[in-house]
Amino acid sequence: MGHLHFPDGFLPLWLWLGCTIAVVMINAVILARLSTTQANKRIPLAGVMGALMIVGMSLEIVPLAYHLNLAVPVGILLGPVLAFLSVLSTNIFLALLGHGGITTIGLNTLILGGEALLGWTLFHLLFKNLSLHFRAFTASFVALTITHVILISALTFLAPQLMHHDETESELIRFELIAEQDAHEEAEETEPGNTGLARFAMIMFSLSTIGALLESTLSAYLIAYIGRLKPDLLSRKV
Amino acid sequence: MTIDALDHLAYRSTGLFHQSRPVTKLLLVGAVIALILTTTQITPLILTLLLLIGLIISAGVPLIPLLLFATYPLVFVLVFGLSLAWTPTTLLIGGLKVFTASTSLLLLATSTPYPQIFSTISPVISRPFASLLLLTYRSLFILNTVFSETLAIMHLRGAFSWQHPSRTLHAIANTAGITLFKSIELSEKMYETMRLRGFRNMMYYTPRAGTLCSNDIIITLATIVIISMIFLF
Repeated sequence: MGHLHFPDGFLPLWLWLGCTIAVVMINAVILARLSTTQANKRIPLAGVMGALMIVGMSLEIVPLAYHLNLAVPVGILLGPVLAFLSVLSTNIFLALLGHGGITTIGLNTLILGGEALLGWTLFHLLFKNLSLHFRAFTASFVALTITHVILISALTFLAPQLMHHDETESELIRFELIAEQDAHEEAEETEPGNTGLARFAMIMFSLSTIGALLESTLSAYLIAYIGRLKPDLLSRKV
Repeated sequence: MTIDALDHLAYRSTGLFHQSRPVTKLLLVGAVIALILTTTQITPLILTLLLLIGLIISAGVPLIPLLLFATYPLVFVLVFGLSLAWTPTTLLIGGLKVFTASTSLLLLATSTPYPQIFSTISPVISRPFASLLLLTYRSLFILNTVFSETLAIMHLRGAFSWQHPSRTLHAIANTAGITLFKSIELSEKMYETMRLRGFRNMMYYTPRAGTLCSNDIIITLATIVIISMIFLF
């Protein structure tokens, strides 16, 4: 679940606009420093990795509401810089398919790009003395868990700000988030806001941990396979 | 609905939407997104959805498969809304926002080939990134074909059996690995061929010459209606 399924209209303006600006700036810096030779050599590989992520994200594990990201194996294979570009192109495609929103492209790119960077760092720098299979599994699981913890914590903190509400009397239908403890009569039948947020965090973290285990297992086998047949693809590159 | 089917519809179908310029369609999608970002009421969302359904029918795109495909993001809204104990009204508005946004984007995807979309936005993106977008798009189909062939081979060899989970996981990873290697090879060859034929990291799309046609005008009117709803509601 490193990829937010939030559609447009859910996140506060400051969040999605800020993330979009950040991604545009990072993208500009990367492309300015990417030489033509590097681009020509590795763009096809980045394209295939982007397509792999799109396919992975289209395969939903329904009972868990989780899908594979494959950002960590992509980060390990491409390096964090090219992985960031690949992740951005993937998110643009997915948004054009209605998977996530246009305004959440920036936020999703930062999350998945961070996941790819974390996976690369753990695989190539921190866990380099472990066996290939275990190294890939650990790097993937730790990177996914850290991302999920940050993401779920941020969502829990932001939950009251999601889907802004308008309290003007001209509205035909009002809606309020229960977490804001309004005086509406429906609120009397529901639990207080903090319990709802805690329940949300618990559900999301449980589902995402199981998903992370599955994804890390698959990533480990995939990286081990690549390491056996084409070890040069796993050489450290930024 | 698979990505292949979306691409096929974008290229092969003919209808009001298909004959319009990509820029008018992108503006329509932009207006829908702007409405979704600003509205908190059900009425404009329903009206926009009905308008989009009308455009889908006029575009000649299969309505029910497209709408079913557009319901995919609702799963997460449901999980999120139920765990946070949203009111039914909030859940309804959330679901409508999601459904309307994904319907508009799928309408764009089924009526406009991706190279036309990227060509339209290419003035604001750099050449290497435009190249990456195009190669990602083409790699999707390479990956799809190679994966189908490899999967068939693995099935014939009896590689997948849930009674042997470890062996099955190995087989899944091997399938993914083989698919990846073959796809990388094909993608690199494709890119080399493109460069030999003069590709220089830019996509060109020549729009239909002349003034806006009636299709463009109808879509522009729909865009104006949606924008006016932003101010009215």
